[in-house]
Amino acid sequence: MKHISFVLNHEKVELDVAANERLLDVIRGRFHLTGTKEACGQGECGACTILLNGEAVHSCLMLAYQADGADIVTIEGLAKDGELDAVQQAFLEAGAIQCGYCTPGMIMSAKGLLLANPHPTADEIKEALSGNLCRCTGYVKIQQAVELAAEKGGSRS
Amino acid sequence: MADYGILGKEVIRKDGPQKAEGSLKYMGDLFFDGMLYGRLVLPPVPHAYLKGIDCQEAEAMPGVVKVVTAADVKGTNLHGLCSVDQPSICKDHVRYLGDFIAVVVAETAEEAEKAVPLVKADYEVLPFYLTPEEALAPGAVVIHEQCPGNIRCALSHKKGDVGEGFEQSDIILENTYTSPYIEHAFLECEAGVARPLEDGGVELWTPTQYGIRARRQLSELLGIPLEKVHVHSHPLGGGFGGKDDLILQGAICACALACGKPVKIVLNREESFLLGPKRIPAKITMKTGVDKSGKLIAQKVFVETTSGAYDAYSTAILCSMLENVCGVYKVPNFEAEGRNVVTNNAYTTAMRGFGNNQVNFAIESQMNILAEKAGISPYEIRKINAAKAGERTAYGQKISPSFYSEKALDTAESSDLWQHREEWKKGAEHPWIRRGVGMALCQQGIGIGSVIPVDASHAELVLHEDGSLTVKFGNEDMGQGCITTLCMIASESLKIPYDRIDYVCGDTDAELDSGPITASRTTYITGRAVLIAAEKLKKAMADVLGIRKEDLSFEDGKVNGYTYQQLAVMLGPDDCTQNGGASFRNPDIEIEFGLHYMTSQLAQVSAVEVDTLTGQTKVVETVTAPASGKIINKLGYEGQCEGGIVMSQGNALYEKYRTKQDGFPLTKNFQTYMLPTISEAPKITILPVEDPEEDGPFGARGIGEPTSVPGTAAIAAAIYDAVGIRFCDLPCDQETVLMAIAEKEAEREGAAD
Repeated sequence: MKHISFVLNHEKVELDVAANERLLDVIRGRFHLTGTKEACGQGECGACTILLNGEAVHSCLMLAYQADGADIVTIEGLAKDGELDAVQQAFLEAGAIQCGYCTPGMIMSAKGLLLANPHPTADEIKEALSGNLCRCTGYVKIQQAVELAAEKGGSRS
Repeated sequence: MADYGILGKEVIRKDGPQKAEGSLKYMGDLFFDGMLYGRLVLPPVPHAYLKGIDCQEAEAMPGVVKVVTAADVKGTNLHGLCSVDQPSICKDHVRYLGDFIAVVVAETAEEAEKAVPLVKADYEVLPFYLTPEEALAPGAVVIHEQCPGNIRCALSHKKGDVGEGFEQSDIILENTYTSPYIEHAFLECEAGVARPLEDGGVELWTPTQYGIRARRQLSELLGIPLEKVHVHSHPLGGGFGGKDDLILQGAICACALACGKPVKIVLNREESFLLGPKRIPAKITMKTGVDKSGKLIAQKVFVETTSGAYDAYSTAILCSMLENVCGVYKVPNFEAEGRNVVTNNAYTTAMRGFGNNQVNFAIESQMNILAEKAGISPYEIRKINAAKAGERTAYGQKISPSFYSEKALDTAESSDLWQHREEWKKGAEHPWIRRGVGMALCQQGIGIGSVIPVDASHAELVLHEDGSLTVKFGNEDMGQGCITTLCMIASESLKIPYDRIDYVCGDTDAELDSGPITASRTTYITGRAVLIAAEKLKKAMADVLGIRKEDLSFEDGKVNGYTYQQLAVMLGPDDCTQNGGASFRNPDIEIEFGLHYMTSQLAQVSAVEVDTLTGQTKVVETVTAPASGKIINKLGYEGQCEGGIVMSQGNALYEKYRTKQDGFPLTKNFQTYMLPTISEAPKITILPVEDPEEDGPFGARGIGEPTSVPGTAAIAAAIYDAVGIRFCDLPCDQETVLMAIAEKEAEREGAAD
């Protein structure tokens, strides 16, 4: 066991984790933040994407102890004072959500992109989201949602 | 044109905010106090008799509560949609690698996992068959007693005289087309939580496409009265047909009942691929005859499908395939035969299109080739052969008056992409990139069809004293957007603002049977049920106001000057609740297996670039012209079109579930099973044909499935247009295309020598 602490959705947390415990399981199982999904467990689908120090990462590929000292934001930490983040709002307005299972990961990948690159080109959006699978939407409205989010201040942290 | 308030607008889906926030709980997200975790014990071979099972060592492991086996399932332990042939937990005969023989239940999933290898089982290993060829070989062991020769079912139908028809034909074309196993690949793997109830019953949270039927099945297989089984079946993280039947639910409930505590099972992706049903593989031999002008005269078809280890929906899918072997076309002479074969490979079931995708690839490829042979365009051959409203299909089934295949075809044909295709093809960036454009057309039955006696749906509306409305129905929302569609229909009818409407769905405690979310049926049939309930509510309002229903006027959020709050109080609780029921009509059915009166039609044009150096095909643009009646929610409608198109692109170019010789999957996860990503999504242009469905809710009918049907044939035609090679086996993946190009080059060089 290792004692670690990190900032989770703007609050400091401390806990003991096993050496082989995945960050995804800590987020879902210990904090019951179930917005972060598991759909492949090997970094292929992006459903478990979170922001780690502002960068979009696959939480299924990280061990929990690697998060020691980090600043982590999950989908639940994106809205502020009950108001959806511009990226979340853009996904709604563009119709980029169907079954919703890929949505949290998709939104976190988009947020990670916009934090680093507030005005991405169409190709840059494709590249940033090519690790997030969606079986429902055909991606057209997801692309439009990220473009809309960029227009509406989605790059604000 | 009627003046609609909310219909046809871009409306944010009801369940959208929760999904965007990450707050919506899917079944695998639920936690209960004292909840236990189950892990499956899978067999080592695809075919064996299970002679005995020893759980002692596993049960002695730390944290393990019990190893649950078929002996713990107190009812029939069987389920299935076309045949009741599939055990919840395998009892004595392993028929495929997903036939788990036990569930280890422990305090944590890790503890359960550790004990799995300690469950000892004694098997009598049997020969196994992964393909129909092997299963049909003389002397093959019978996999299901009720399927002698390993034939699940055989169907046939004929009309006219195909022999004479071929004699009269000027051009005859015969080809064999194959479609592989396809994964549904919903992002949410199969999962569920059950908890035992004090009355001996069970409460289950599980993603499934028909909770009411799941309850009936569970009651039988668990041996518990119906009223003691409670199923919460909504939401689903995708379904596409793959969550239509039970898969884990019987085992989850059995575990909860046997352990006396809540039990959760969540499959990982590898397990989902191994256990889960797939799109049915098909081998279709099609012989087609036309006259000089390209008019169809005769068609002879043989369809062989792989049921796999269990029936699920496979038999009904074969019916649907035979219904669709002539596409939207009139063929005076035809013969169709089908055979569904049992194997020890993965079992097969419904997947968006219900078998139509596979036969559409065949018939539409035939049409494209025949057009070229007859010297006419792909558009012309379709135009002269397409059936018209009020006529009869090749099968003799009368076609609904709202049938617009020609209009869909004309719309696609008049698109910029089709009109300017020759010019576009000249614009490739490099000489090794070849461009091509292809076309295909389809119809898709809406509703389950005549295969069942009545396909019905029920809904309920409740007007509340605060003036808000609840729309209740049985149907689950698996992403297709039925919640939003049905709330919009209620809003439009009663002029109650959309944001004042709430919903209840996917819960057997509501006792509303709206039928399954399948067959693109919900918009039409539950939509009608909602409308009927809304009309009753209006009648009650008129009665309480002492006026005729037609004198009701809806203005400024009021009804004849009364607010909805006032009306709710005046009506009282009894009259504030109104029910509606509706069913499909299938008049003039002449043959015994399922046919459809109502269909949606859709034409598609796809434009591709083939890289002749790598074999890679890129779909650059797709135009779709769906004729599925009036649009309810524009965002939802477009989303269905785009999603269906990209799904069919995966089917055309990348996807194939493959196994090794021992039956274990080669394509175990998304590293090896390739889905389209955002990088592969083409530009999509949607040209809706909105002619109304005659009795659909505000003129609407289903859109979900047809969007995924003609893509494979359109893309294969586009590849031919680009590189001059016809592909009859799906997928046309990079390696296949590259090898075919190399072969063609070699032939050309050979000829030059």
